[in-house]
Amino acid sequence: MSVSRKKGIDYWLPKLVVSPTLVIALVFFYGFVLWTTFISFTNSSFLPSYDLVGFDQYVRLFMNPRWLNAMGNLVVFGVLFIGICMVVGLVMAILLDQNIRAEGAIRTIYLYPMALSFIVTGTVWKWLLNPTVGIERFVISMGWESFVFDWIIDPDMAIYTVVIAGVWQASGFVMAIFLAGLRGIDTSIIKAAQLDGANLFAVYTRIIIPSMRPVFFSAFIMLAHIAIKSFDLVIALTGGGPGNATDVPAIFMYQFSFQRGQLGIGAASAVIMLMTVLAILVPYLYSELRTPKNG
Amino acid sequence: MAELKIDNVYKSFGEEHILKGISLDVTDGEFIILVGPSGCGKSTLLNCIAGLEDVTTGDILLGDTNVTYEAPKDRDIAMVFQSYALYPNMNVRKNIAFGLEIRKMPKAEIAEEVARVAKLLQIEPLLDRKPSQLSGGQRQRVAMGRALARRPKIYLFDEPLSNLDAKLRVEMRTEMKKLHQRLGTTIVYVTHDQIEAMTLADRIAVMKGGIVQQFGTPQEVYDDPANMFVAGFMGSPSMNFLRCEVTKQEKDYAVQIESQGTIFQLPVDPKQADLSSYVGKTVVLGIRPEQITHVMPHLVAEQYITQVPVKIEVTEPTGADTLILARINDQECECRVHPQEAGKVGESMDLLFNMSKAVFFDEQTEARL
Repeated sequence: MSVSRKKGIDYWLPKLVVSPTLVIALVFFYGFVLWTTFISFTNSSFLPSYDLVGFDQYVRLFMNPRWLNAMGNLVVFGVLFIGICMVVGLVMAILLDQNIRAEGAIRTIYLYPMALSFIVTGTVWKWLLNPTVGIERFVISMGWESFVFDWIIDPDMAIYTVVIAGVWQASGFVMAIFLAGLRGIDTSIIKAAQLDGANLFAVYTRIIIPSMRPVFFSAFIMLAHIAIKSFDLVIALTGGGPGNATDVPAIFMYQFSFQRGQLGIGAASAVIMLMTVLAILVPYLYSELRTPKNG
Repeated sequence: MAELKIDNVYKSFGEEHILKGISLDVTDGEFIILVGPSGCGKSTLLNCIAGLEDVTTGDILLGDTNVTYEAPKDRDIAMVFQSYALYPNMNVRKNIAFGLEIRKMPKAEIAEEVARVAKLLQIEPLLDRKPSQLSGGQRQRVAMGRALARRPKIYLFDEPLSNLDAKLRVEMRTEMKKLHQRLGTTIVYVTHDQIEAMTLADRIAVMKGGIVQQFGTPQEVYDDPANMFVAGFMGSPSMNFLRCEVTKQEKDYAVQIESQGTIFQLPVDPKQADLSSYVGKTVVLGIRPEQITHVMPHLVAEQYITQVPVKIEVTEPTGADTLILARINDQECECRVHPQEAGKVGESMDLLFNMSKAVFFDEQTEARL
């Protein structure tokens, strides 16, 4: 009886509501991923073409010194950005976890940079780091006439200014993640370790930090994909300059695809970036989604 | 192993006074239980002994040393926590060895010690597992193993059994008692479960409101409670408290009860209380359910036994006994009778009131008379 009953609005409504999102995601996300991948195997230049040329664009990409420079910058930026954010975030979280006064206010202050867009962060830091108006000028005006802080215009050092701005923006967020992790640890574990004779340093290094492995993992994943996709921060801060000194893959991809009319190479670089993100994400998802057997 | 002396310890958090002058002397090898309702300060006292909380005033002596101002790690104390507090990133072996490693014991000795403890607690097959792979009872054992490994002067247990299911709790209780008998260590154990307190302790400290109400052996605390709180807290089902008037008999005193409209005089054993100054006044009679039983012919003639017919309001069979709720002096009174003798609800039934162990309290101060 009830088997043959017509399915009512209760049945269709959820599906109806979700379907536009699904369609958009399928077409504009997965669809264009596939289309970009296809383009990267063609000889497209200003306009897409459909003549397949195999891996030619990838060969040209990896022969291009600007791409190699961008990849090199990504490695420098990625390692420093992720590393420093993790260390700073962890230290701030541990200090904030000592039952201090006004913790909520302090937490908000540190977390606040995350509320800004990278464009704003980049612009602010561009002014701060500008030798003629920023920190250097300020220190000189205080009387230290020989003070020099011109990393932003020094091609060898400019990439580190991107790291500074990135760390400023993201480390508060990392702190919040670590703080949540620390709060999840039973306080009697700390008491037990104290009775076992461990000092506070040993409690953190031997017990608490090792047992926060999943938290480290999450923080790493989030920072890694911010680093790989970094585009707006660099554009606002240095515009990729001086020269190509702070070029990153995302800028390379944008310029080749839309400014230089080399859609094929741009598509190839986009695919390489996607692969890099996947190379980090897939093992993570695999380890997270797998049913835990040996915890 | 050592003696523990707690001397007039006060602990306050701002204006809130948690411990108000606690003094306890624990002899070497004694199993002491701190028992009381939540918020009575028993866990705070344990934390003070461990050094996890500073005392406001007073002294804590371990053996001959005053440890009041020493850090927890210097006190040579081991503690088992309610949540077990196992280190989640280490396997069982590492958990047990951690305290020894911190104290820089040689590797070979650590391995030996871990093996000894594992054998003692029968956790050898679990040594390579992580805490997340253990059941509640297994974690409990590991937590005890970690405490045992260091051979400290004194062991502290903070409600170690309360996270286990009822059956396992009873099993672990017995094991803990066996373990104590075998090792002969000094133990201070906190619980809110008065049955645990009765079964495990050499001596019980009953606490309420930051004050030790009574400190004595389980039997003393049970038979000879210091006040109404202790009397009501220890024992399950708890002691009946009946307000009744004191009357003068030929040479002794009696308390007067009423059941189903009839007045009865229950003779008071002068060994239990001197009620001479309470004649005509109301006192609280404390009588345990097992002292009100069905009629047993060989007891009827005894001096402090009175046969009283009561009306049965509720019956609660527990298997071994049946508890009967009767109405005495218009107050509820629980009685413990043999299941086959128990009457039906609404019926009248003759019960024997045995006054030889009855206790009396002042109605206002709730102190023992």
